[in-house]
Amino acid sequence: MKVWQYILKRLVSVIPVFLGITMLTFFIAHVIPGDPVTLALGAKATAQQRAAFREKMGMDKPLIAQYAIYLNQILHGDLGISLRTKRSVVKDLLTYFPATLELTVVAIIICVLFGIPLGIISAVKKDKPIDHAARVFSLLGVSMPIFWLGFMLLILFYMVFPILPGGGRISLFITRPTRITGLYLLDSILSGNWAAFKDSLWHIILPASTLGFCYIAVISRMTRSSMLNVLRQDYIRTAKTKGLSEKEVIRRHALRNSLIPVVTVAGALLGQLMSGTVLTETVFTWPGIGLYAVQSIMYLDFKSIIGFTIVVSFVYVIANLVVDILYVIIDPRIRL
Amino acid sequence: MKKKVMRALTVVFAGIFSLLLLGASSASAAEKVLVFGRKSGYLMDPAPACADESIQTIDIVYDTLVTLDNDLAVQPLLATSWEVSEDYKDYTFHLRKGVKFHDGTPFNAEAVRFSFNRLLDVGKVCIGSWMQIADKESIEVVDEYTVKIHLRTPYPALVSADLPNGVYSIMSPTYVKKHATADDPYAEKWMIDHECGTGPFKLVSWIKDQEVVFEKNEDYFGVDDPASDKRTPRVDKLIFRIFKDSSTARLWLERGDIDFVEKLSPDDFLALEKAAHIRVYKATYPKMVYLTFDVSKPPFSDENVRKAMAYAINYHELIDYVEKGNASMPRGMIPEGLLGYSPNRFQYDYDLEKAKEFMAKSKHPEGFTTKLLYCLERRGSFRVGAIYIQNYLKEIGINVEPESLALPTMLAKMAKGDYGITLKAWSAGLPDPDEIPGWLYDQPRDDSGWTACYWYDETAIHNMELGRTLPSGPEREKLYSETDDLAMSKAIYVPLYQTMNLLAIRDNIKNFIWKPYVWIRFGTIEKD
Repeated sequence: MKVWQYILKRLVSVIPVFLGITMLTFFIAHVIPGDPVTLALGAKATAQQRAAFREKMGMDKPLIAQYAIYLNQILHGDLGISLRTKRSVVKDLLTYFPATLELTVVAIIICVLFGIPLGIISAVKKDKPIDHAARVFSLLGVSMPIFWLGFMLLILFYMVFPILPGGGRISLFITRPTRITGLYLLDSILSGNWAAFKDSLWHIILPASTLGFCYIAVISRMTRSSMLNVLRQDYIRTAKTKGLSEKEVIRRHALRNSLIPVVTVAGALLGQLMSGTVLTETVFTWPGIGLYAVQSIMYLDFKSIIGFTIVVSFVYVIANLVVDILYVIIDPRIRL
Repeated sequence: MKKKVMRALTVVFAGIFSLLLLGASSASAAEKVLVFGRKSGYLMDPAPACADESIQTIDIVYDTLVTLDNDLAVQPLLATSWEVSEDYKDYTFHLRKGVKFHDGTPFNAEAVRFSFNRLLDVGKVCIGSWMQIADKESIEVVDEYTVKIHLRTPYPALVSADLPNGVYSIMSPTYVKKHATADDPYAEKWMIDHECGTGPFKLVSWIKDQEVVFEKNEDYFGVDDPASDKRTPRVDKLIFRIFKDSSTARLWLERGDIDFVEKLSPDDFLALEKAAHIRVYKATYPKMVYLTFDVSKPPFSDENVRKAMAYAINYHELIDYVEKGNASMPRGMIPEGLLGYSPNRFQYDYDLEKAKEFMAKSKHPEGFTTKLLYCLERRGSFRVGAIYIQNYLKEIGINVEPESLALPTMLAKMAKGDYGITLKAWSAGLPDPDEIPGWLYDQPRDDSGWTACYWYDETAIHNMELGRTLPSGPEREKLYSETDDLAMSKAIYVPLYQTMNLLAIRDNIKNFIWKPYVWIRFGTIEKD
């Protein structure tokens, strides 16, 4: 099957997934006891005002009817109005999602840039001191509470050695890049706003490092395990006996063959990071989707909750799709 | 080929590294900029405003017909004078001439009618009583600068309490109508984060959950009264810098990246009291933290049980350790600053022996188990407070299981009654006693679970209904005072403490004033 056909097939298969997710989230959110209208209108609203508001929002209809209306709205690109922010949910998601996506992608890059070399070193120098040191480093990353790590890095690099900013996506007095994708780094490159690019990059270092550090262990452990497996293969022994240096053996033969499981884990991490950034966003005042989701849940803001769920589900689907395509690129023996 | 790719990547990374080495940019030195650390920008539209924090935002860009000065006395603003009928149903306002909205259109009586009718059209306002006392025929435009208000019921507090509040801000009808659509006839979606008022600042930009930027309104009409905050600002720009974590905002303040900050955790305020170049500003706030329960059902229908709980609480410990000293002992449920408050009102204090005596006399001498509900969104210190209360009540045999809930879920439980105990906070958004006792002691007024103590006392309900129709004075004060005394004698609620409002400010900020109901006076602030 050609790549474009495979992509189309996978995208079509997303439709029943979305239907299932929206239905599940919608009905679970409505089963939880609590009336968000009471909160939205405050203590002084009369029963008539609450009833009028429910009617205006369509909340007086049977649940099935509400779901059908809501599904129709989603198909027209309307995710409704957030009871909490009082803005369109689509507008909210377009504001918050790119921030989290950007943070997550940079965190994954950090994970991979540090995790893969660490894993290779550990595998090649198995059971040597450097292997143990690399494993301790990885263990530290996965053991440290992300909230604490973020705050420690903030104190170190913002207060003690004031070389990095203390939060947010960009400095107060820098002109923001023209919005094209909502990803500040990409938008500033596309619009040629180098001051914004530099400033945004400066701002993303700490939060992305905090997020990435915690998952370096995952990538490095997977790389180590996969590399050890590959290094035991006959073709590696053949390459060595033919006189290739260790570096050449790893670079030309071992690395590519050991990447498949690593790519799988990295793809799964993307979805996990997308939905787990709330603590990092809180410490670094990163205006992302994690905190938006938590606050929506606290307010039983159904439409925001569903909007967030759809977005994260979509990310998981796309991440898995990209991973499948990467498999083919890395290993031509694999067919779609 | 691979070598070329590697070379290209090396050049790109070297370029990025060089850019980073150039360091971050700094602010323009020419402008005076004030940076305020806030937990949110909240919202800009007066119509759905539900919280003091939103009113703080609205107050920056909008004006009201009247305002309050530092002594909470009513002062003219967009109205220069007014007359009130004897029955408190008819009000005539004479409007200021020559005032323009931020879009250049003139302020006039039609704008007042439009703004007040929009409150009814949007139907979400939860501060003030406009929805209950007025309708679409209430506003009469007499001429371009005279407007009359005809209320459905007498309401003496209209000028002293309601109208100074930002909910009653006057907005440009031209601007709002320009952004209305068929689906959104009152431009609710647009006005949430846009404005067109007459206020001392104009909104420049709003980046959600990052910053809100205001600039000085050079054409602001100002007022001559030096006590008023409504003057042309002394700074060029005001920026809200949004934070989500209290400790992060504390670092920003210590480093000077923000000038003042609100709503930090008690621990962070405590630490800042010792920090160099920073002072912590404290002011009494009209918010009560208390325990509430369904007094119509056992075990809380037993007055001895309620009194036992009231005597079992160590109030000073809660103030010192939960709120880090930033609260005060209550005197009933009416906070200091509201009509009806008395420093001599009877107040329960910690007395474990008395608590055990009342418990022994009650119908539940062996104690019982119940839940203690609270919502962290209402107050962050409730988690620790609940643990303290759990320990106090255990001493008298009441085993409580603290349970943190989302606010809608908690309200739903309270609306059904028989919910155990709830740890709650209630504040006065307006400087009027109807805001607190008027709700807490008039149970039929609330059917949604916000107050939910189910105390249907005829005297209390009658006093609250009558109090709403009287002007502030000795007669009105007596009604609220006596009702609070009655409620305290029966321990209908257990008031725990009155909160304070804290702000941490750098010492180069001058003329900083914060008052309840008027909030921060940005017009007076100067920065060295």
